[in-house]
Amino acid sequence: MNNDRTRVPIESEPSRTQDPADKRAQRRSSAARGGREGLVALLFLAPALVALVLFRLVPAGSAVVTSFKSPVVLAGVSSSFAGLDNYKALLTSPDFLNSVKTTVLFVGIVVPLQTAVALSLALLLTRDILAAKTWRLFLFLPFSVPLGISPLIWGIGMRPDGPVNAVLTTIGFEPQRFFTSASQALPSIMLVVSWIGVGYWMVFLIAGLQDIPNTYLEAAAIDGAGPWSVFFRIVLPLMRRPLAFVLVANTVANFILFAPIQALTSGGPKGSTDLIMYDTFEKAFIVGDRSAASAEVVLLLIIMLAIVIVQFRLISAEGTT
Amino acid sequence: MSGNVNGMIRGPIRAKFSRRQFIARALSAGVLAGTGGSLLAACGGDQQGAASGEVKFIAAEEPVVFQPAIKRFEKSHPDISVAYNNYPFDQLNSVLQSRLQSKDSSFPCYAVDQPRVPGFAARGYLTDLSDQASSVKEKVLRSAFEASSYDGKLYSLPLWTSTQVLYYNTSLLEKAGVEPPSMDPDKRWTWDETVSAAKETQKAGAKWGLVFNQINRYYQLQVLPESLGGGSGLTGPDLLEPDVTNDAWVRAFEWYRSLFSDGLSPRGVPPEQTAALFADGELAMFVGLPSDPTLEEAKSKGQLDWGLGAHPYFGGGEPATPTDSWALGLNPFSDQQEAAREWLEYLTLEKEGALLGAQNVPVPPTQVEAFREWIREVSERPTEPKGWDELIKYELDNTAVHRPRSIGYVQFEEVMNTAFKDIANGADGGATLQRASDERDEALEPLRRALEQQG
Repeated sequence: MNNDRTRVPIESEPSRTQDPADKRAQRRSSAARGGREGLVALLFLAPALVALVLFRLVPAGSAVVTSFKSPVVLAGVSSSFAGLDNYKALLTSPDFLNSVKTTVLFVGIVVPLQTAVALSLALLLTRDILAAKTWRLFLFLPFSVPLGISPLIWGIGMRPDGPVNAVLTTIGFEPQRFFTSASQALPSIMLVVSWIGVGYWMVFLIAGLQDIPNTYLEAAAIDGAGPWSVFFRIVLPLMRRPLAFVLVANTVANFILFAPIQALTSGGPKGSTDLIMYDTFEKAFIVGDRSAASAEVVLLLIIMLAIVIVQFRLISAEGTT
Repeated sequence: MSGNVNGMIRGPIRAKFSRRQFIARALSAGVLAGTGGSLLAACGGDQQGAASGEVKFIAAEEPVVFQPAIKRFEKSHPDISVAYNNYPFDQLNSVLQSRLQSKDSSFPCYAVDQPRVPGFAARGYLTDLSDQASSVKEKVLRSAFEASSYDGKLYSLPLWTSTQVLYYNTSLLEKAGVEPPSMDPDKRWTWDETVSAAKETQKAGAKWGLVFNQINRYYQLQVLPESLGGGSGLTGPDLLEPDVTNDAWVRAFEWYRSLFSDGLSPRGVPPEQTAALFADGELAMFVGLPSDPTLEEAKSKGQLDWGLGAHPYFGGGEPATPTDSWALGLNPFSDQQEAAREWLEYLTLEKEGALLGAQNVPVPPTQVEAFREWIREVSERPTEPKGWDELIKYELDNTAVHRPRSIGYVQFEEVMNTAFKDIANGADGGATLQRASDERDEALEPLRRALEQQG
């Protein structure tokens, strides 16, 4: 660190003997180099930027436009400007309000739960324990099963007459209804998505933990810090960036969760798992009302953005990273 | 999710006559039909039409189902090739809806669930085929022709039709000392008789008593209130008013709920997994398609002995059985209409094509000659009990109840399937139907408004 502090100013300090004309020329050439570099960077970034515009911004813009139009439900009936009608209909529909409530409840529980479990596992598996790398692999494996397949496996496993209940009854528990009960279906979905998600998010947190220089931990140990104070005073503050990423990405992933709902519950029983994304899919592709579906997407985007902004604020307010 | 017979077609029938035999018979039939002059001039068995190019065709079945027909068609129409794409049953309708909404012209023909024909036609997703109506009418079963039309116009060509029967596990019934149900339609069991027999078998050791194949889909459950005179659930001049809270509906679905609350049927088993319960010998009685491939295989391998009874009904009411299947339609946005039309006509209106297309499915073709031939062939299989063909024909002619031909069918079916799942999971029948009725009223409102606007 000290070396860095002394070297940097010397290198960046302009030579006292330099001619002002030379200085101008140097500035021009560095500006030209900067411009060229910027152009090259832009060239390399172009495919990603084009994709971003084409696959994210254009559809989002089109959803906003469609959400203000009346639905085309019959041929020959043209779509007209509908103002806020689609939004009004949604915001007074008990089904949609139930979807919002269910989604917020789902995200509010599943994101902190998955992040906490992923962090605990990451901490455990970066220690000197037997076969740590093999454990990491096993925990990551569920993520490699296609998202359309793992819900099917769990669907069969957690059927009321399925193998999970067979195990439960063998060890003396009552059989459970899982996806067929309005009170157990949402927690069961949480279990399935966490089985997939925890190992995935854990990988990012392990990378973050491995980036913490050992010297800090050694210094803390020399100063006599206990494991809790090392965790709260050193590890957690230095993990702010990877944690912020996991928290935000996980929040977004769960807000737009769709495949397990479609495969396992279709939003039931009694609407208890009717997350917004599934409701949107139903409106757009089953009922065929793209205007209502677009309005739903716009509302989902607003809710999601609001929560992500709050998350960023909270994280940056606590530290300087 | 949609409720349709085709969702249950899991794989090829293990035909008890060889494939070569079948093709030979189909071919000879085709030639005979050709000489009879009943084929359309544009697409006769070995005649080649003027159309050419690649025809992309979308449906839900495994590729093996259409391969024999595609092969034969391409041979007799060397300028046309057929590229088949299949989507899982549960996804097909939403895939089609999204592609047709965006006026996708890349596929000229596709399979449409028959009750969806009015909705698709009204949205402009199907080419009007009425110029051919009179010729089609002669070639296909009357009821299938009607199910493929909307508002007096022909919008699709019917492919297959369907019915349902009551399977029973011979040894489980014997063990319980229960006399098996009769195949004679006049002596069919009532649902109450079926349930008491099912309970007897459970006392004698059967794990489950009675299960519907499409356990929570409108396709199979519509006949419960229909048998009690409760109607299809849609009423009004355009069939856009919900009517699912009348006494017959409530009574039918309280009865349905009791199947699950009394432990006769398992909760949480999706339609695709119900036949396996019967094939595994865990289930005493099963209401399903009359030549279910899983059950035929289990019987022919000697793993399970089963018999058949006529579809039950509610005592005091009328017998009612599910029916209909897929139709094939032309995508109006495609410019490959001619070649696609030749392919669809081959598969639906020619005996040869219709027979080859139904070779690997448990449902009969609707082309009249192919229908007769198919019924005869299947009834000769050693797995099917004597009188199988008579029962199937009787049900299709006398008790089949079509799903409502409404432009709001999609919205209707979606809400009802969800309600059926909730009722199976224990929700109160009357209250759930009331909620479904309100929800559906809301979902149908844009259609009613659009119709008014159209005048």
